[in-house]
Amino acid sequence: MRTIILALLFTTILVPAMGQFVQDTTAGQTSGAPYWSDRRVVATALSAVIPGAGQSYLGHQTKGAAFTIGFFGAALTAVLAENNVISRNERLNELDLQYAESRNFLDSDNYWSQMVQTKSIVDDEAKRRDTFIKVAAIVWVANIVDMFLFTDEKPLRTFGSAGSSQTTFALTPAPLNGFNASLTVHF
Amino acid sequence: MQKVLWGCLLTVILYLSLSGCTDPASIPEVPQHYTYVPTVDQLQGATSRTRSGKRQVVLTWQFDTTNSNIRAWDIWRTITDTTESSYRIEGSVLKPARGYPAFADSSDDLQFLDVTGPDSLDVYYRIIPNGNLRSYVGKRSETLHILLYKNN
Repeated sequence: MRTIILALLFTTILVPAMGQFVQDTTAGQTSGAPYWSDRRVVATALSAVIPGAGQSYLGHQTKGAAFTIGFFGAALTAVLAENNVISRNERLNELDLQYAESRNFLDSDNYWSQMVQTKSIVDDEAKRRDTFIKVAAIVWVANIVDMFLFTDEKPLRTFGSAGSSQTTFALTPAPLNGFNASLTVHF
Repeated sequence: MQKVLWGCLLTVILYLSLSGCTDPASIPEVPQHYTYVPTVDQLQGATSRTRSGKRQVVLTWQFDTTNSNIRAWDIWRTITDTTESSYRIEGSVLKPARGYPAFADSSDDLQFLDVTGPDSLDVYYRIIPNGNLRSYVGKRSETLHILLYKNN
């Protein structure tokens, strides 16, 4: 099952994305306009490590934040579920030992019902963990595909004086030393 | 070349993520404790008189003779009061060499009907098997209700 999922992910998403990227790069090189700039290389590297970071680096903060939150949310849930699996497994082993050493039916039955309940929980947690690992992987792949195909470079903006926002905050180097901070609010 | 590298990276990440996880611990599919000691089956009781004329209750039951983990059965009894704490151990029966066990209860508690008291007496029995291995106390039998009348 895992092999099938991996193969599907690889063949349906990543390979076409790579192919498109190679075509675009080749076209850019032949026309003399480099498609794969240094900023995109850095952004792709960032996105590979922290999904969404590359998009934010290229100026798509909202999309980048969505990828980052999506990936780390899924990853965190998977980690918590894995932690629950480990702790429930320990509990299950402990109950199994008590069950094996019990000397009367009532105790055995009590331990057994706890084992069944714990087993049900540990199975649910394992399913949740696997699901969220796959979700995190899909978000990561989508993030990379997005970097290749759908994320264009926005022009660089001076930090703090960005856009048409009503409120801006800017840091500018001071003539002697340090920085000047300015907050501008338009009413 | 880049295609291969990205593909390898994705594969490695997914493989490590999924295979590095803890497998859920397993439990036996069939619980052992139900059959560890043979259960008491077909518990029956009958009232009769001893040769000396005392009233008695004869209990008979069966068990799985292919299961050798049985040493004896404890017979618990209560009269009228059915609360758990009111049961008292009445006797013990060792595993017979062959056939099924039986227990005859002709204690004094069952005789007072002949002197004074009510017209009938509610007597309740439970049997608890004891195994050889680990001195395991098995599953107790269903409660058997015997109604004793003054005239029989």
